[in-house]
Amino acid sequence: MNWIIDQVSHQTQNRDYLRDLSDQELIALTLAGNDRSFEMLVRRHQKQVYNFVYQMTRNHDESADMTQETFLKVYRALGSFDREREFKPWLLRIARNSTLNQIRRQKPDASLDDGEIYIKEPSTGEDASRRVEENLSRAAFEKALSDLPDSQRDTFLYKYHQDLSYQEISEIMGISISSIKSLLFRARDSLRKRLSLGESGLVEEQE
Amino acid sequence: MDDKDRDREKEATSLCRTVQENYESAAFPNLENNELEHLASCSACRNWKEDIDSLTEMAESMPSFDVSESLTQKILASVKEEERERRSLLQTPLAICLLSAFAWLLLFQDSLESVWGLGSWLLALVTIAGFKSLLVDGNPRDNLQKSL
Repeated sequence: MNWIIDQVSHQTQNRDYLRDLSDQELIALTLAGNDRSFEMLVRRHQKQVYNFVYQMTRNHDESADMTQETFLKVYRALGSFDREREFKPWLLRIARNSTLNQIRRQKPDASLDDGEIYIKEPSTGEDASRRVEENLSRAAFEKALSDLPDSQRDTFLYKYHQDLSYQEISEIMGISISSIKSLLFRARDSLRKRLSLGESGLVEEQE
Repeated sequence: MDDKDRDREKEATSLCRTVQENYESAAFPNLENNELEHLASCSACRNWKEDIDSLTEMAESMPSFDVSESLTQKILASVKEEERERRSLLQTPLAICLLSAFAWLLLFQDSLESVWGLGSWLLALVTIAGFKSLLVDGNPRDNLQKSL
C-alpha cells in the first residue's frame, strides 16, 4: 500500500484521480494524512448511508444527524479497520448500530414522517388517478413493511432497496447468511399474507 | 386419494419448495430446466412468483434521496474539528516537553565550557527549530492538504 501513497502524493493535485481509487486505497491515504481522500469516501458513500438510515428512522433530520455521526465514528475508527475486508458493510454496520442506539434512546411514540415522501406535484385526469392508486398501493406496502419485525424489515430493505448482497447483509447485521435467507423468506411470506395482489397493484388485505 | 396420488402431490410440493428457494436465492435463469417447467405449469408457484416479483419491485421503487451539499460540508467540518482536537491533544504534551528541555538546557547546561555545553546549545537550536515547525509551519498533514 505504501507505493500507492508515494504515487498519489505526487498526483493528488488532480482531484479526479482520487475518484478512481478503491475504498481501501482512499483509507490508506487518509491514514497517511490526506484528508481529501476521506472527503472522497464521504462523497462516495453518503447517499447510501443516508438512505440506509432513513429506512430505519423515516425522518430526514435524524437521518442527516445519523449520517454525520456515522462518518465521524468511521473517521475515529479508521485506524482499526481491517483493509482486507470490504469497507461498505463496515460503514453500514456502524450506521445501523448508531441508528439503533439512537432509536432506543428516543421515545417509543416518536412520530414517523412517512407519507410526505410520496407527495409530488398535483396532476390531473387519468394521471392523477393513477398516481393516487400508486400512492395507495405504496402506502399499503409501507404499512405492511413497517408492521414486520425490525430484523425482517431491515433484511428485506437491505436486499431489495439497498441492493446489498447476502454477504454484505450478513456482515452488517452480524448474523449468518442462512439466517439472512430465513429472515428474508419470513419477511416475504409475511408481506404476502398481509397484502393481496390485485390487477392494479398491491391492495391491503381485508381483515 | 391413493398412494400414487399422494406421492405425486408430495413430489410436487417438494418441487414447489425447491423452485421457490432457488428463485429466491438465485437469478431466474439459474433455475434448472425441470424447475422452469414446473414454474410454467404450477399455478401456485406462478402466483407465488408474481407476488414476490411485485414485492421486490415495490421495494426497488421506494424513493431514494440525494444528500445536500450542506450536509456533506457539515460532515467534513465535523471531521476536521475532530482532527483539530486530536492534534491539540497530541501537541500540548509535546510542547510542554520541548519547553522543559529548552529551559533545562538554558539554565543548567549553557555555562559549561565543554562538549556538553556546545551540545546543549545545539540541542537548544534543534528545540527552537522544532518550535518553529510546530508553531509557524503547522502540522505536516496541513502542508500536504495545502498542496492539494
